[in-house]
Amino acid sequence: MSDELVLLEKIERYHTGAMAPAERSQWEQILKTDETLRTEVLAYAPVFGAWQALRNDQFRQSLGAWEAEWQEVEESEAIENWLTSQSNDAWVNQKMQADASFAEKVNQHKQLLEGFSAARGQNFHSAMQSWESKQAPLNTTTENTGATIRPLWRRWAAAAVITPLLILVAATYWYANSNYSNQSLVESYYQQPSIGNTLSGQGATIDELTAAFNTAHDHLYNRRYPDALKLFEQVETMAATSQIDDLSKQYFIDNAQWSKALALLGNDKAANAEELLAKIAGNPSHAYHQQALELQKNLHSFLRRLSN
Amino acid sequence: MSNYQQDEEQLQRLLRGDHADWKKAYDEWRTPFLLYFHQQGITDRDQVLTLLQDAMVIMFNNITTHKLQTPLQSELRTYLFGIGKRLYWRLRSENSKAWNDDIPETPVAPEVEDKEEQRHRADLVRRLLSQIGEPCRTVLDMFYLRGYSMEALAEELELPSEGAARKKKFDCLKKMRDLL
Repeated sequence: MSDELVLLEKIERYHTGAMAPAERSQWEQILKTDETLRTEVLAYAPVFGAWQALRNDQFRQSLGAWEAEWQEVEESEAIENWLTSQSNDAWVNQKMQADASFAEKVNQHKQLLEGFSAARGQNFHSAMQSWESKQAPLNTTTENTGATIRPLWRRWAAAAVITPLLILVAATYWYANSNYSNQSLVESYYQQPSIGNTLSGQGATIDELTAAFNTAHDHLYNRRYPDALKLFEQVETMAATSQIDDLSKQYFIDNAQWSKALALLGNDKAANAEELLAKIAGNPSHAYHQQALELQKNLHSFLRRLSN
Repeated sequence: MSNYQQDEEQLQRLLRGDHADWKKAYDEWRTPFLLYFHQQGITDRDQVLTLLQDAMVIMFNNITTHKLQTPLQSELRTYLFGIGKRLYWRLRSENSKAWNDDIPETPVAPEVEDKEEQRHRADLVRRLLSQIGEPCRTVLDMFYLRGYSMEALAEELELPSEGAARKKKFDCLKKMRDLL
């Protein structure tokens, strides 16, 4: 049995090309003279040949799968180029119309790209804030050294440096206007409270207070700032005189004050808003103390000044 | 010292036939292959992709059956391009040999086997495997198709030793031969 095993392993190495050249040549010499061995070797030829064919066939199937992965990569790149207008591949349009799942894929890709764009915007925002914090005081004592004549190439070089700066400045102005105007600040600081029915069952005054509070927030949410302001003043008064528990009372008053500040700002009455904010920021136990401090900081920021 | 040491190291890995290594190679060579044939004026992308897949199967066969051995005469990538070129000539007839590039003539084994013939032989093994039953089917599949070593095979099948695994494989091969 052991000899048989050794022999079969040798036959296998011969058929699978694993024999070293010298051993192979010696083996082939033996095969020429030994007919029994030759018959045995030939009998195994189709077995090993078929195994290799099967391996090749399985490899071909794997290749198909790898290529399918590549096709997906290339399709995704084509969609991205199409969405970002780097290409106007008509096939993307055609395929979207013909294939609902492809259209869904494009839609998902679009959402992803929008998400990345928003994330980039936030990074840009953070970067701007960091530039602002590092901003050196402006040097107001510039010395006039007289006019100098510069060669043309230096002007071009200067232009090459200045052009991106101008674009950056324009982008900064745009960004400041989009994010630091009165209305933008209100939108970024405003959060609608979820009152629901948590206060029900505490008497008619509570119901009225809750109704007024909700309506006031509805005005603020829909940017009807004068109406919101009026109603929040009422809410504040109603809350102060109501019979509700102290914790709820404080919540209504604090929220109404903070909301009034936002409504004033939204109504372009920044000075009045700042007065109110100073009151809130000056009271560490106020529920909106921290937000007021942040908003104050933003109202005095470099970008805010750019937006005005 | 070989001129293609890195390629020879890669060849040793590919020799084992592990598909993970081959996938890496495919990812590495695919784009250069497409670019190369595009530069040669073959603009039908699907045709080049078919050419690439056929060339890869031949390369896989030549490497796993030790037809391609060290020392290498070119980079493996160049070898693949050479196979692709030959296949293209075969498709287009020998007249299209006016090929202006720096890919040398690549020693591809003469028997670039017909795809249909390969399939036929693969089907034969599948048929035999379905007849041979367990545990032989698993033993042969693990050794020949999944590249298990005898030691790993013994461990996986809980055989007492590497020798026992060799014996098992021997019995199974004999059984398979008898089914032919």
